[in-house]
Formats: sequence, structure tokens, C-alpha cells
Amino acid sequence: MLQASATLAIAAPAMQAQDHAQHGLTQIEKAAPQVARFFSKQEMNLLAQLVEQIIPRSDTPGAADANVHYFVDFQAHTNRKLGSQLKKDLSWVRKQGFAKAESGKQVELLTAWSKTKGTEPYRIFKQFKDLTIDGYYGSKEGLTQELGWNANTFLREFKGCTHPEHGA
Amino acid sequence: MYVQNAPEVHDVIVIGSGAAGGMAAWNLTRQGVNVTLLDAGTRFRREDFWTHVKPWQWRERVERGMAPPQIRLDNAEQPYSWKDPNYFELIRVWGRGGKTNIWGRVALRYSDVDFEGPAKDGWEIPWPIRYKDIAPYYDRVEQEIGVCGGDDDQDSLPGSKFHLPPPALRCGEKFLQAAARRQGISVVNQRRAVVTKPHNGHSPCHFCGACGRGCDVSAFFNSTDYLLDPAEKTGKLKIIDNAVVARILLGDNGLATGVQYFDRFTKQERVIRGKRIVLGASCVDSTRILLNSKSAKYPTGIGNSSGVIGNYLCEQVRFHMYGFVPDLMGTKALNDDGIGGEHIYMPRFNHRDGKKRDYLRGFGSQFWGIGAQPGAAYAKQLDGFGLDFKKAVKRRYPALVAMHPYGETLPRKENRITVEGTPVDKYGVPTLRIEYNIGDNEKKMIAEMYDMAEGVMRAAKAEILPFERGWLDSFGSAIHEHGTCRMGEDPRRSALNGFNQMHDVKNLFVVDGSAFSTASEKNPTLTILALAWRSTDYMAEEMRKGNL
Repeated sequence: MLQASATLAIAAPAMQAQDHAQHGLTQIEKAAPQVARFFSKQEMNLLAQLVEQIIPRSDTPGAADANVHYFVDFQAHTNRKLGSQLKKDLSWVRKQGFAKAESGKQVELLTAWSKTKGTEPYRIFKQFKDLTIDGYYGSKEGLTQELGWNANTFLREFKGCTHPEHGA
Repeated sequence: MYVQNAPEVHDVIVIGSGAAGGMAAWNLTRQGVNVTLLDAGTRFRREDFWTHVKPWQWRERVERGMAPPQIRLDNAEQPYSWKDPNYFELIRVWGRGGKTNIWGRVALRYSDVDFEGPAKDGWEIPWPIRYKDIAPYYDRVEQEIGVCGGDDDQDSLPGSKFHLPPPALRCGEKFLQAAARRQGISVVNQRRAVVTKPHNGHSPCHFCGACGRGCDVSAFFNSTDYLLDPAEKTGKLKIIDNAVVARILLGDNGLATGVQYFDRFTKQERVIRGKRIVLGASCVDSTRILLNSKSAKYPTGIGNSSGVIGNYLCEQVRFHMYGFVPDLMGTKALNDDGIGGEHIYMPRFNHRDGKKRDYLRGFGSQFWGIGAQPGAAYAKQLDGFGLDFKKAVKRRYPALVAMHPYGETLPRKENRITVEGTPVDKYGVPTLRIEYNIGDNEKKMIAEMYDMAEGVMRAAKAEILPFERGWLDSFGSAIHEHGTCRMGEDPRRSALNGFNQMHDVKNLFVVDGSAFSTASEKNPTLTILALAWRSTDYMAEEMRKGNL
């Protein structure tokens, strides 16, 4: 089959670029209602506590505010090997009394696990920590409110470094 | 099986639609030559690219079962193998424009430091061309496609005559540039095929930074919009979609007579006849086609009387080093997208200081990923958790700097692509196998590359993220494969002459990275474009003279 001659409109380039950017903005989807697809309600509760202790609420949202536990649930849903590992690990975390512990005790437990590199508790801690980092710093709350990211947008001009003390 | 075998004999058949094939088709059609181009896929719909989709929107879409356009070829569709334990990462794009849809846009000229390397040090064959041969073509390519950059030539990085304005530097880039200067190393404006102001009817960049997903306004060079669309307007270009080329056919007169291909989806076998053939299917796939094109005259592949085709595969060695500049810690995050990827480049310098190295050739460095990124993966390398951890991540966020040194890999006969005894693909054609490793030369160079990168980071007083000295990214991950159908003066040691024309089969030209005599440390696309233009100028001239 022959490809029909196709042309891309290339007139008024700046206008076109802006149109595209606007087009992107109109496509912003409303946040979907969060539904756990892999973990049980009990597991989701525990997961929410765990991610919130790893990245807690401050003057900006924490990991549970940013629905990071649902992010982890979706990772588990699409990667069943990871999912069954996480189920086992959540069960281990529960057995340590994490779910029912006061916040201070939860921090003590996490601190102990985080300081034992090379052990199974450390592996479990690091796994949840890494997932929390991926989830939180890829969320709207984590990226825009916490880190101040404001990019992937239309600019007429790129100014580069605008710190006067750095030669701007 | 019934083979559709059209009686028409095409003037020129071009195989591949990326930088190499696109340039060949464009340059021939504008000179009045009829071209039939075989593309292994179809056109990608620019309006479908997920360019203006924020990270959290991306997630929401994926959770709803949506997916961005599949631009990279799924290797399950066209498998390949490698010799364990040396995995070779092979990234291919089948479809209009090939890898130029998502390439890194780094547009560096080779210099005579590169072209004269092998002649000076005697490792493998010399290049048959020098900078003066290709310089006029670099000029034309840059004027045609638009390359932004500075006015800051080096002996290892010449030719800044036609640059579009360079983008402003990010804070972290300024720190690394100054730090390198203190180490006696020049870091210049990067040269990239991004249109920073309207150029030849192409829209300028709007600094959204999502170039890797495909540009929604075609503000960086891609073969589809910059070469094939204009070529189609001449009325001289026909493109055949979904044509997966298997073999180039040889006639009794010793010339190539046509191409056997399979429809990507129906698997229907077809043959088209042509008077001249230009192969530009990207280094690795072109090599597979050549090796599978066996005949009584050329039992190891068409035009392979020298035996070099498939051998001397050379990619590049590279690694990544990250750190945080103290002066930038805790500052307000800026929009650091710019033109996506780095705005600075470290050209090769190790030939200048007069110190003798215990290795041949050289390295440069790229710097993508500096400043505010759409994520904070570095946080995984910071200890702890909780509020202090959260603060530590935020403090470092605007201060992230990165270096990505690239080093040349020497051509070696044993680094090779073969099709002997491999499984066949879904069309019944042997798949390719890659045997690849680096040697002592690269290991010694890598040691200096690590010293250099650490030295620059330390000069910037950066807090360096933990790294393992000597670690390398996957072979193949630079996506700069070269050398498996190399050009040279000596037909016993090379497959092509200096015009990318086969020594053995005069009406067959190979114009992609496989034609390179060496890999250099530089990104090859600009040189592929210049060589393909030069080669097809020569071809058109030979046609006019009646020699071809």
C-alpha cells in the first residue's frame, strides 16, 4: 500500500505550538476514584500507614494524602510476581505489630529495619521505601506541592538559570 | 507460496526511512530521481503522542488501560540473541522516520581527530575520507534541518557556522561548566538538532521537555517531516508501508536486481526489482539483511568478498554519575525542561595535553538530567525515612547535576553480528545474533573517564551519589551501533568505498551507521545524514554520467 502524501501544517509555528499546549491542558483527566485492585482493605490500611511513615505529611501532603498506597496496589496488580512478594512482606510487617502500634513505635520499628543492611527486614523496608519514592515523587502532590516542579508546559522563551547570584 | 512479483523495475529502491534512508530519498527525489522506499512500519500519528501529559496524568491513563503509541519495536516481534553473558541492548524503531522520532538530537560533527585516528594509531583500517570531504555536507545538513549551538569550535568539534541560537544554560550546567574549566577542560554549548527559532517552515521548540515521547510540533529533526514529506511533494517518492526486508537479490551480472520483503502483518512475500539500491535500515538490521542475502557468488552475504560484513561492530562505552551542587541546595525549583536533555557538551580533550595515554582514542561527556526532573529517583540512594528524609530530598531537588561520559570502542573482528544457525523469524528468515565485548583499551579509557567525571564533580564541590567505579551501562544502550559494513580504501578489508558504494556490487549503497570505519565517542546521526547526502550526490552524478 502506498502512503498517501501527508502534510503537517507548519504555518504560524508559535501559534501552533501554543494550540498544542492548550490541547494538552484540555485533556487533563479528572482523578479517577481510587479503587484497590489487588490488596484487601486490611492490607491497604496497613500500606497507607507504612507509606505515610516513610514520607509523612508536613506543610505539604504526605504519601497517603497522595494515594501512594493505591499506586503500590496498581504496581502489584500489573506485576503479579511483585504483588505476591508484597503480600508476604505486608503480612510480615503486620506480624511485627506495626498496624496496631502508635506512631512513635512505628518509627522505632522502621528505624530498626532501616539500619540492618543485608537483612530481610532491611530488604522489606527498602522495597516499600523505593515504591513510596516512585509513587510520591510522581504524584501531583509530591511533584508540584512538595518539590515545586512546574514543567512539561508551553514556554515562549526558556530563560535557563534565573538566579542572579549564579550569573543570570 | 505465491510470490507477488511486480514487473516494474524501479530506478532506486531505498530500504529504511530513518536518518539514512530519509536523507537518501530526499536528496535523490529533489534531483529528479524516482525513489521507491520500503519502510518496515507506518507513519506515527504525531497527534497521538503523549507529549503534554504530566506524570500523574500518565499514571491515570495507564490505570485506565490506555497506552502511548508504541514507537520502539517490541523485540518479541523480531527477536535477536546475544552471546552470554554479554547482553546487548538493541533498540529499534520500525516505522516512518525510524529512531529519529525519539532520538537524543545531539548533532556533533566529526573532526579530523576522529577521521585520522586509525591512520595515526594503526588500529584497524583508516577512514577513506577526511573532514574536508564531508564538511560541505555538514554545512548543508545543518542549514537544512536546523541545529542549535554556540560559536565555540574546538579542534575536536568544528564547524559552528550555521547554528541556530543555543538555549540558555540551567543553573547546574553553569556550575559544571565552571568546574570543568577549573580542571582545564572545555565544556561548550551542546549542538542539537532542535529548532530554537522558526526554521525552513518548522515550528520552534516550546520547551516542554517531553522530546523522548515524540515532539507534537516536530520542532526537532525527524526524517518524516523534514525529509520524507518534502520528498513526497516532488511526486518522485513512493513509500511502501510494512515492508520488512529480508534479502537483496543478486543478478548474473553481479549487480543487485531487487529486494525480497514480507508484509509485516499478512506475511505475504513480495519481490520488487530495482536498478539501484540504497540500504539504510540502521546498522544492525542492515547487516542482518546483507548477511542473509546469500548467493553462489557471495555465500556469506551480498558484497562480502572481503569477509568483513558483520564484523567490527563498535558501539560506545558510557556510564552516569550524579551529584548535588551545594550552592543550589534549598533554592526554589525552576522549570529546567529547556530543549529536553543537556544544553552543554564536553568535547574530546585527551589528545591535547601532550600526556601519553595507555589507551587509544578518546571520550567526551553529555550532561542530560540536570535540575528539576519529573521525579526524584535519587531519593532511593539517600538513607532514612520520615520528615528529615523528606526535607533532604526536597533540598537536593534543584541541585541535581549529572554527567554521562561516552567513550570510543575500538573495532574488533570478534565483535560481530551473525545469522548462522540462529532461529528464524515469523517470515522464516534467520534472526541475528550479537557477540560483543570490550577489551583492555576500553577498560583503561573508562578508568580515566571515571577520574575525569569525579574530578569535575569534586571541583563543583558536589555531593556525589554513590557509584561503583568501572560500572558501565549495557552494551548497546547508547544506541550508536557502527562498523559492520565499513568503508575503506582497501576492498580486501572493507565493504564500501568512501562514497558508501559497495566495492563488490556497484549498484548497492549502504548509508547508515554500519558504514562507519570507527565509532568515535560522538553521536553519529549528523554524520550519517552528511554521509548519506554525499553518497547519494555521488550516486546521482554517476547515474547522469551513465555509469550506474
